[in-house]
Amino acid sequence: MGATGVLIGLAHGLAGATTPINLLAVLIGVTLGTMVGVLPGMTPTATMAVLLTFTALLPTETAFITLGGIYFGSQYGNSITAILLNVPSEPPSVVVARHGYRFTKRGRSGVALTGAAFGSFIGVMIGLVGLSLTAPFLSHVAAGFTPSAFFLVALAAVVTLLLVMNGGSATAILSLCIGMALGTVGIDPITGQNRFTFGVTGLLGGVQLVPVAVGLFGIAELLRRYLWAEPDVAPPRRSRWRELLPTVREWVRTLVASVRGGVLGFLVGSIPGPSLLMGVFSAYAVEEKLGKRRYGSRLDEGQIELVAGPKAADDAAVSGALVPLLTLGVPFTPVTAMLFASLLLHNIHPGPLFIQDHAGVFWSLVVAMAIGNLCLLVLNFPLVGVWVQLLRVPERIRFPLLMVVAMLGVYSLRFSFFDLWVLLLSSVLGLVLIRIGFDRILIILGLILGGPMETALRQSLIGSGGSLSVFVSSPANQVMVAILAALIGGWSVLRIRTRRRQA
Amino acid sequence: MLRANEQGPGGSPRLEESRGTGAGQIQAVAAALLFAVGGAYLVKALSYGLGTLADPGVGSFPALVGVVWEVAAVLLLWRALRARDRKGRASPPPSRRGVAMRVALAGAGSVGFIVASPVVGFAPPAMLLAVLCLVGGGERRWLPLVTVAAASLVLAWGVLVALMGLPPGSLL
Repeated sequence: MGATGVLIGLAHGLAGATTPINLLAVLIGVTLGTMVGVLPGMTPTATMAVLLTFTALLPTETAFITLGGIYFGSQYGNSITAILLNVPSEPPSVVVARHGYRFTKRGRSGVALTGAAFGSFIGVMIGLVGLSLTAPFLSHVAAGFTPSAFFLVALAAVVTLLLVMNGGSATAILSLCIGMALGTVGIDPITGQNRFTFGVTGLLGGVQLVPVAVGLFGIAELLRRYLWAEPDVAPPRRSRWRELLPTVREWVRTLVASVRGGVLGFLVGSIPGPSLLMGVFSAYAVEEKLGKRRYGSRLDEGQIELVAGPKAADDAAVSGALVPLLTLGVPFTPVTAMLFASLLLHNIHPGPLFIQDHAGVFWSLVVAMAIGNLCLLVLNFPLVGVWVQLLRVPERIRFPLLMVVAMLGVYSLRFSFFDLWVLLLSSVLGLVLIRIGFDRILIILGLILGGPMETALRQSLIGSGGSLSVFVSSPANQVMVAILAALIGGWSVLRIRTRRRQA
Repeated sequence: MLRANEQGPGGSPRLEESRGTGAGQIQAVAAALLFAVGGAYLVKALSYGLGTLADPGVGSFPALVGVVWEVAAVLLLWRALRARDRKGRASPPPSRRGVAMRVALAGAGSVGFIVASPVVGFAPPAMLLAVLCLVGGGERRWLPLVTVAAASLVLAWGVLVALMGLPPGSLL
């Protein structure tokens, strides 16, 4: 797809996303997301998990747009809590809290909030430009994959994720295996035979992704805070209007740092792995290095670049993480897993043909993400004081209500009580996994990729009469095998070197 | 919850994840359990048949997953046991009784919701779930209990009747 195609797509997206209903959806999504995201401990993923089920009621484009709004709203809500209270709800917010809270202590919290919101806006814009230019092209390439090529690509993605996350630890491998095992429950895709259903009718259609995702990421987070009775956080004093305004010099510094962070975030975000975290910390490292040179010891007073740069990287990395989701159907981050689940609710399977078959949804999503961020900029500054007052609602009251919302939401998807049992078991499993330090995203990835990988592997072997040479028969396959070998070889060499150094 | 690396209003000094103590011990138990579950999964997968390379059976891919699962579980168990030996016994986390109470109440509320909803409608179990969770959270005053129960009733009505178009009779 050339530049003209991208422009035509964007024009269609603009027409689709700016209908009154979709604009209202963005507005509601952003507001809901900020309302829930401002609560300590409610990560963007948990917020999306709790509210995900309700998007099933909406038309596909509107649902995706709402979910995008919820995500960016909750991201901004997180920034408010991080900057005003020094309580980041997720690892990427740690750097924003660290420098943003220094502004709060100096009575200039508004500057940090503006820097975070503006950084986020620039980051998303850069990310969306990158997404618009790369995703259609990659999608076109991926559409030509044979089953064996798809299997190798998925295997390379899984191996990369395993190696990047915890260096291929046993917990990471086990998480992936649990997910893949769950993915094998139900009717065998090739022979139609039942597997692991134990006579339970509800299992015939397989383990549903949405209840598992809501349980693992949404209810498990809520339960964690509830069971271990994390203390309520006192809301800060109200921000005055003039505190919201940065100086001209701070605006310029915010813009420059946001562009740097946005580009870095998108590039890192496209790589499989904990890309959000890597993107944020890469941008932070760059800004800190530049800041030390520029400000010296004054860097510790809190500089706006160290808020805006990492924040821009965070949001640009999300757009980057959309590339493998929308072109290969592989979600590498919890946020993209939620978007994946949302698409499944509308019977859309993300993959190489997604952009071709659902061009309207793709381009509307791109435009809606931009509009959602614009809404955040316009709406949320005057409302910061209102959002912060939500912190006055104690945790013990928030938990029961969010729990009821999540349970009713999952039930309403298919009017299935069996899904509620799956939700309950997934929540308990998620809670245990949090306690013992397992990666929950790998379970979701295993559940999503297990079925397609099995089908691709078996189709390849049946088609080649059992010859393993099918995996090196084409140039594309040979490249993938070489990448796999380089990944595993490179990681092994690094590990041996590290061990020798430690010895 | 995470905290940034400096003093905040809550006074937590360093970046830390509020995870309970005894992680090594919990991990050892988890690894043993996972080994058992993985073993059962592998046995069941083998019972479906492996087939041949030219015609892989229904159990072939699950068996592959099961083997990797078992190897990883053994590795995790070995590491967890070594970690526990090095560190010694971890001290138990504080207020276990409070956690057990909350687990019991939230668990009873959730299971009650799933079991009772088809029989008595959604409203009573939703209110009960909310109230039990609230009591588990330490609330004893009647006003918050009534407010939360009423709010959950409104939520149930909003989701099921207003959004999903179920008849109001489904609530009771």
